[in-house]
Amino acid sequence: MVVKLDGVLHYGPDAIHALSLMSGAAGGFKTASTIGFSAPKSRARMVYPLLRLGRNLLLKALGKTKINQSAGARQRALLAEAGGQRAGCAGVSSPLPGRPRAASADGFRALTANPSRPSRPSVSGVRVQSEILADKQTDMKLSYASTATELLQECV
Amino acid sequence: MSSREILLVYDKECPVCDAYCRLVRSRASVGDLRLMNARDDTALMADITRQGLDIDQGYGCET
Repeated sequence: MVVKLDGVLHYGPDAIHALSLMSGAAGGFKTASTIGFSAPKSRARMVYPLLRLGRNLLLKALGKTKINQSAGARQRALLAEAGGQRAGCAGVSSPLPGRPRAASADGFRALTANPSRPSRPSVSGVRVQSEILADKQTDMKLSYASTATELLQECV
Repeated sequence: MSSREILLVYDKECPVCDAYCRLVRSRASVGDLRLMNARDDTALMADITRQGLDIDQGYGCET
């Protein structure tokens, strides 16, 4: 959970703590908020892992997946940001349109690309078969990396 | 205080989180609170991700 307030991002227990301080709630909600999250802030930090565990169990029970931003999207964003300056990335169409993993492929290619290598041919958007295969292989590798990271986090 | 825009990003698929956030929004004193689903591909989510914040963990890194 993240709260953006006055341009500042409040994250996790800080977010709930901020919400509890802002809300002028009364009755049961106020009581629940006060018990768990109102000052001191350290109490919110203690309770939040239990809530996170509860959420994870609930999502599993309901058959829902996590947002899985940790392994995939964050890595993709960082890679895309690092490789975003590369002119070739913006115009390359994704082999898997609509899937967020496509962005990671661009970022990964941008990071691993040889700077001295000439830019790819972009004649009227036609892509060579080998490029498409390379995209799919990169997507698969990133997918495996994401899964491995997620499994490691589950173990920890 | 009521004119302040507050964005609350949460997991809409989690019933408890959803109920909690709707309850918070119903409180007038909170201000102009907007709920955003963390599973949607939004600019704010991109910003959160760019800052290294993991919604699933929620506790992993402090800023």
